[in-house]
Amino acid sequence: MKFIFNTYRIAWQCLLLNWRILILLYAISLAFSFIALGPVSNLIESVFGDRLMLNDMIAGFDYTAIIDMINHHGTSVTISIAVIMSFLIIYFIWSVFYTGGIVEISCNRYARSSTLEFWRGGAHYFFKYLRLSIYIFLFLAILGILLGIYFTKDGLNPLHLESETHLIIRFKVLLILLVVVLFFKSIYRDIAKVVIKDLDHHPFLFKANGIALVKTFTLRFISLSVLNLMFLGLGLLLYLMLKQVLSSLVVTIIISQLFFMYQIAYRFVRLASFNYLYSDTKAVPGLHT
Amino acid sequence: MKYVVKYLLLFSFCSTGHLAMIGQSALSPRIANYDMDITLDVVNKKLQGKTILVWKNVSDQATDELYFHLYYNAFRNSNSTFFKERGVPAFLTNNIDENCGWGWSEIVHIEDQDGQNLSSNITYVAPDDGNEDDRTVLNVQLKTPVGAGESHTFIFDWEAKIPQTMPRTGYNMDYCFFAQWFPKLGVLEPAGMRFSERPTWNCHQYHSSGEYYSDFGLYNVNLTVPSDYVVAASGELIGQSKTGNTRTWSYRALDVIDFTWTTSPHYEVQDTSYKDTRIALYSYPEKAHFSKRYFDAITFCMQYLDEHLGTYPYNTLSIIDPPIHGMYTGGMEYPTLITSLTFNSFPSGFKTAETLVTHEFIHQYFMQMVATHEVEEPWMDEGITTYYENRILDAMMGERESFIDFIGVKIGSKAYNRGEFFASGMMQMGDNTYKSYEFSQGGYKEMSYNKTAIWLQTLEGMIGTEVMDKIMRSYFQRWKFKHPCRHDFIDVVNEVIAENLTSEYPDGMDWFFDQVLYGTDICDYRLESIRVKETVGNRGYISSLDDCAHDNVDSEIINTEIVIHRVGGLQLPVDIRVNFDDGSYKDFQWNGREPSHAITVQSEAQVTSAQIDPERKLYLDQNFINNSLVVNQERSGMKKFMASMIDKLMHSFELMTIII
Repeated sequence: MKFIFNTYRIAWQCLLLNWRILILLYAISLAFSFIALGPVSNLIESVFGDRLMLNDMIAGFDYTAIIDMINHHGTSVTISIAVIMSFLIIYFIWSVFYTGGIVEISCNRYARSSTLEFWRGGAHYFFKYLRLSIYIFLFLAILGILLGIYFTKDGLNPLHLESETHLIIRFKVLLILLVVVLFFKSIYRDIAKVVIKDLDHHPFLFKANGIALVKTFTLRFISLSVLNLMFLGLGLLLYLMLKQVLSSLVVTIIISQLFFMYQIAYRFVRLASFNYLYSDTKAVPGLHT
Repeated sequence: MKYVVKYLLLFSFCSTGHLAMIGQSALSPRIANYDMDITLDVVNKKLQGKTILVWKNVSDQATDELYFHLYYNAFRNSNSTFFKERGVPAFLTNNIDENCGWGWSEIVHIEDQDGQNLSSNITYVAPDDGNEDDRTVLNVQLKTPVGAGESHTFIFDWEAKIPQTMPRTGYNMDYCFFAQWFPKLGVLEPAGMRFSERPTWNCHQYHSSGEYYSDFGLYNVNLTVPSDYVVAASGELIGQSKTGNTRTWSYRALDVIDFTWTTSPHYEVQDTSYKDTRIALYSYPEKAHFSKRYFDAITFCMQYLDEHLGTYPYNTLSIIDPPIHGMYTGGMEYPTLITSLTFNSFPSGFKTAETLVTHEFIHQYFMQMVATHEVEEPWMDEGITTYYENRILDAMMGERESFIDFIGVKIGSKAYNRGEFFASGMMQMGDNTYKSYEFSQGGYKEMSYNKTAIWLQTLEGMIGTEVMDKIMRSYFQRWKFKHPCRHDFIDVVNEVIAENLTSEYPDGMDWFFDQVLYGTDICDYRLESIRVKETVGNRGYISSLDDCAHDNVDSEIINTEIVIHRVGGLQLPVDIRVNFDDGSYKDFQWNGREPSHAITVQSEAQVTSAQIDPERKLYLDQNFINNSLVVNQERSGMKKFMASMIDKLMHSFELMTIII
């Protein structure tokens, strides 16, 4: 366990050394959101810009304001949503790219890496990581279909159901199952990225996937993942508590942005710690579980 | 033998107290009175019925015919008018052919009080559309006419096959719900009642939308079901008796227009009370925990209507929460019995339990007591009910969250109703004089429920809640246990307005109803511009050609012109509020008739904004956004809003990448 904690500590140190990358990732995410919301901003400005109802929109969810906007500016609303949806895809591709950069720079445990290394790593592993993401996406889609089939195995017509209870129990069981699968999937995904880097000379991902699959269910990686999630959970808890206490919108947004940065940091630390754990257990045969 | 049977039946009829009760202090005119013995055959899904009907001809002319509704024949086949209008819904009926879940109803034998057999005098008619395949209206030619003011007794045996999961009625598994289920007499409208100029039978076929229109009466009903089944029905349970494997439940319902019942071996009963009314909730065990929500809502609702309209006069109210396989019967109203619908899988922030039970209970006032014609004037039933539903739910749970309050999404009942109407795209599908089946291309719900509730809300906004309450109370008190039509409602409005708001509305409110009830125009007022006008004094040759005037102008006074456009066709009086930079405001009124209107404000303070209808009295206005204009919008609000949006979007981005 001490070994795991040590690995995790080194990952945090590496992040602190590369804080500029953290700022860069945050700035790019902010820019994506800013651009994606451009049409929405223009829409809100043109519809509510000189109207008193803007106050209702700002105050929180206002059904009347929203429904009147949709009824009278429906086309603009549709376009704005389409732009945001397309940016979701762009952001997803970007996230595939930057994890390559994180894996690359995290190899220098005790020294600060240059931004150039980050870009190089992102570009170098991009297509392999994209393939991996597509495989995972397909896995999740198939899993979703299978769970859906199981959930609806007695049909979904309520008139054929004696009671709702069976459906609710089945839903809860499937939800727990899904959470467990997602937990192991996240371990698998991050180990796979590290192994892909390690087996860089292999053009195909089969071997890397195989190794990652085996390691996913080892106690060390599960422990490390739990440790990572604990830190994320602590951050989330603190964020929610502050959000509950603070009433000023501006302060809430600032706290929320800090939590967003924390999430990027979490991703960095997670990948780096998985990288170290994999490398170290591989280098020391006795530690190779 | 025939006469022996007849007199035995009449004796039993009198002995149950039925005829005696007709003379009791009645709430209603008690025109059509039923004594029924019903046996439920759960194996063959059939009902066997014997009915003694005592009917009084309240018109001034004798009649030699009767008309009956046989609503179960709507489910006889796919050629009925009901299914031609609605289509056969696959959701409800996908097993219908496999199990032959179709239903029917037939009068096997009918005779009058003199024992004359009328069975050969019956024919099916289709007064609305001439559909020969529709058997939902039955005509009986009498051998002895019923004279003006006379009461006659008719005895008939009938049989019905219970349909499976049809809209509002039928069986599924061991759950049974019986609505519109027995041969029920139409209404002989005397001259002067509603739109009748001479005595006329009013008996519509069963249409896809709209059901209720019947005479008030007494119902004594014995329901024989398997002994392990629990029964809930309209009226009061007056006795039970067990014979072998069956149990007979005896119910009596006084001064009602219909009788409905349900039975299942799984019902659990919980109860509470409001004043003298016992409120019983019948639900399956898995839904028993909804009782608190139901009872809180219903007692609030009863108290509200008690204070605003009048007391609920019946001593029972049954709430049925059907099981999930009985959801086709949920959300319906019947005399002293209503059905709701809840799902254990729904979060409590979806307030369906409160919404449905409130809506259906209000129908006890508008449809059951004020017995309007739901087919001919659906707005008087559903619209007025929806109006009160919004008022009561908003009062009960808050105007912003009375419909949904879930993960930060809050929607009020009134706001939802308005949104539903304006988002429907059916705002002008017809006016409120359409019969339910005349909305053949859609718009029934939007016009009958949504629009009516919105224009009643607008009327309330214009004349004030106090006067509105006087109107509705007068309308209810005057027309309870009668059959009013729209003219009667408008008359009450005009009377109360004349007593309370003569100076504001000297010509009454016909102009309002001409637009909202008989018209299809849309309401939209837009605040077009706010302009500071240059202050110009008298200049030039004003008094004579010898004097070229150049008056000094008081530079302290600012002239501001505010222009309002009437975008829609509807013309309603409009309040306009002008706000100044010193925090003060000034209100103006405009009759709202011209296409545009300008107000010039002279003030020392700068105008900061102007607003049409600041108190949202005109709920019919289809766009509230354009009701105001700000001279210099405070940008920080907009910036904060966008910052909040960006923050949310960034978290959404990150969440997505974590999942994948």
